[in-house]
Amino acid sequence: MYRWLKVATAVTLLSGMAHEVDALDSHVHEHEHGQHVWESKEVRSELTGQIGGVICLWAGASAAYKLMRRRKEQDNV
Amino acid sequence: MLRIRQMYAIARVTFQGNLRKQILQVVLILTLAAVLSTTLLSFFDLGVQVKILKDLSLASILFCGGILAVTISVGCIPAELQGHTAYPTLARAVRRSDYLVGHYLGVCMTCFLCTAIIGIVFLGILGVYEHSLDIPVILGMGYVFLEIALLAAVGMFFSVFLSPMVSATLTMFVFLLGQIKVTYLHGAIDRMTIPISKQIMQGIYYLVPNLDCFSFKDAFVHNIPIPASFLALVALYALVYTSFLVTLSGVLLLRREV
Repeated sequence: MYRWLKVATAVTLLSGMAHEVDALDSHVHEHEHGQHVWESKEVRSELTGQIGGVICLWAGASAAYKLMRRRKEQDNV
Repeated sequence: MLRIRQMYAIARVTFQGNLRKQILQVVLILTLAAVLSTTLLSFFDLGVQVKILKDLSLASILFCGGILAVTISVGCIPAELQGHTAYPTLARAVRRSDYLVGHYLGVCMTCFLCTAIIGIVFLGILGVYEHSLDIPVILGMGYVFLEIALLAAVGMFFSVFLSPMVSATLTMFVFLLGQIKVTYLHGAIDRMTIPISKQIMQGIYYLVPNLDCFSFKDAFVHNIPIPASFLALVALYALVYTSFLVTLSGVLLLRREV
């Protein structure tokens, strides 16, 4: 499994690098003349979505923590 | 109340231990030197010099805080567990979550102290040039600190189940990817042509916290107004993400046999 992961990562990085070197000029132009982060509605909706998702995960993690702690205390008794 | 006192005691001990670390002094001196070096740029117009000062100083604060957050947060808990110094604390009626939160607060206090020292020097130099206190820049430094606090939570999360070296590498990776998440990574993923690579990168994209949105350097340097709703959203994002990571670290520490 790890070997496949390494191969996939290497392919991703190499293909990405070659592609990005080609697209460097357009990226620099995009960065200099593009929208600021705080002006982008896409970034705003992405942040809101991520906050919602993380709150759900947080509730799950804290419930798991309480359950595990209770089980551990019962084991100790 | 007792739990808060316990957490405070752990945070204080962690903070005092961190102050003795050489990396802290070295990074602090280097960053102060970078900030002070902007006074040598007297051949520029005053407006340009102030812009360079703001730009370089905010970047230096982020760099200094980021390096400290990574190096200090990843070493705290593994060092105590391997050196068995955590046992006397955990043998008392201290919850593991409180132990972890205490350490996290200690790391945050250390990073806050360093960013505050650099910030005071920076504001002092800025005050000499502008003859007034720049409130937006102070707000910008606050957001840099929020970013550092989030990064420290990432470092602490990795350090609970990985070795310090691997944790530091991964946290640095998250720091770098998070910095370019919106401005660069998003476009790079869109341009990818190999489906499997695109899917892997999209997975990484959603896992990495968005540190790009904490960067208001351009706005403060060029006096561009930022909507208050966006500032509030970013602060909430930092709070929720940090709390989640600290809770998850608590779960992992509880699972770990100590």
